Amino acid sequence: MPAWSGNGSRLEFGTGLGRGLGYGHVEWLGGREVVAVVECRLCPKQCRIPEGHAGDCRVRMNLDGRLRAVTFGLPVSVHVDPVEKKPFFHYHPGRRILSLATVGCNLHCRNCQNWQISQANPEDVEAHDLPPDAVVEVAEREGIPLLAATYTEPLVYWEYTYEVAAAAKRRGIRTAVVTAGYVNEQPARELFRVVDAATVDVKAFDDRFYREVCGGGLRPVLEFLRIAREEGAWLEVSNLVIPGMSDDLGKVRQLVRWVRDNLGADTPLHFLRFHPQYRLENLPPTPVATLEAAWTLAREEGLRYVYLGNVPGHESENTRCPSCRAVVIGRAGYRVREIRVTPDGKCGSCGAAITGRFA
Amino acid sequence: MKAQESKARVATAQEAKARVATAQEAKARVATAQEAKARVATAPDAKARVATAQDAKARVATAQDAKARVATAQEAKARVATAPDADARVARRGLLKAAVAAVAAVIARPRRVLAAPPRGPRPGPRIRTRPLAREDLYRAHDRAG
Repeated sequence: MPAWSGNGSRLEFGTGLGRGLGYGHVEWLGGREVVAVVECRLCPKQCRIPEGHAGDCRVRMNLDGRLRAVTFGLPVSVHVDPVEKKPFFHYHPGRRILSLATVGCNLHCRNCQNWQISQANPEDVEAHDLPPDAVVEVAEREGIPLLAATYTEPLVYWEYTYEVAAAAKRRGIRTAVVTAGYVNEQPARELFRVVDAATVDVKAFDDRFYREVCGGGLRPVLEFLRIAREEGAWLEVSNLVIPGMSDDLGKVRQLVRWVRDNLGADTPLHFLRFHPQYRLENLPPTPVATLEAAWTLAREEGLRYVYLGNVPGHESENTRCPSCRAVVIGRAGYRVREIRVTPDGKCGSCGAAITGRFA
Repeated sequence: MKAQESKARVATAQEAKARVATAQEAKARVATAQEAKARVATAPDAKARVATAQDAKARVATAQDAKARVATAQEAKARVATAPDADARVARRGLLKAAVAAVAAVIARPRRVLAAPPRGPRPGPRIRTRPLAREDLYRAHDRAG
């Protein structure tokens, strides 16, 4: 567990991830006043933050020369969702998951669906005062077996995500993150000590897309995926297909091959349909035919569990046994109609192994 | 007597010979005059040719002038093509000038000692909170993820 010291509901990023964090950067301002600039080493942006300012994610601030995660314990969204909405299709299907988010994100995707909170300043959105233990109490009170840090970027409020997951784990509740995976190695590895699962949105298998549309980069995301696999977390991958921007089947094939070769052919891959949002309202929704072409390509490349998201009622929402092709998890939108998988992950028809966590 | 007659015939013959020579000379002059006349007859054409030549010369001059105008126009066009850059350069020079002026103004400003920054813990952003209600958990929402 990273050592950190609380300050009310605020948090100082201390000697865990904070070990070696730079309080040593000192700059002169106006030739008269010394100002401490701290360097946040949570994500690859490594913002150097002057006193009183926040990093690119808006939630990690330099207050009195110390780096603080100012949204610690202050989620702006707390909802009970079906786990399929994250999306998780092989992680306790049909269960409810208590989902929460604070404001903030270290990417700035032009297509962000939750931009009202991901691209907001902490002081601009009303929050709930909900320390980690209180989150777990809510889950217990409502009988919800799963927790998710989602909607925005759980990695920028790393300390809160970590503490919620640690508190949940102590009480037998599993925690997942829904993330873009744009974070440095050390915090990623530390997080998976307490977090059980991740669904990672790979924006596109294209560094240029990351730079121009999201303000990030591809390589750290791929590294995050490898780390999640190495640390034993349950892992699903999603990819939003934006017409004219990330619908190149050549790139999709590269993504599919990378997933197959680095994460395994059993890794669930979700191709998500784009709907006009935020700064890309000028684009049309993704044609279903484009998604189906991606689906076919991924299956041809050997991935066993490929799904289309945001296309309610599509046949590809169902999970089929890779051996006998029987529907083992039938879905309608986010609703699970039937589950024919045994708790130890066997097909109810032929007994072949179905990847996932079902118990 | 015979000698005299003979002498007289010789004289006549010489005289005739002289007349023949004169006649031939006259004939030559006539030929020359005819030749001159013929040349005069072709003279108007020559004059026309001269006029044509002068006209051609004028046209050549006009063409050269046009060529020069074309070159000038092309040069002007090239200058127009570089004009936006020139505008940008001018603008940059303007900005640079303004920046230099601003820096000079700051330097020229009377120096003053900055007040020491307030010490003690600085508050973070003022985050508004409200209690979490059970309805919040189940309220329909359109958040992705």
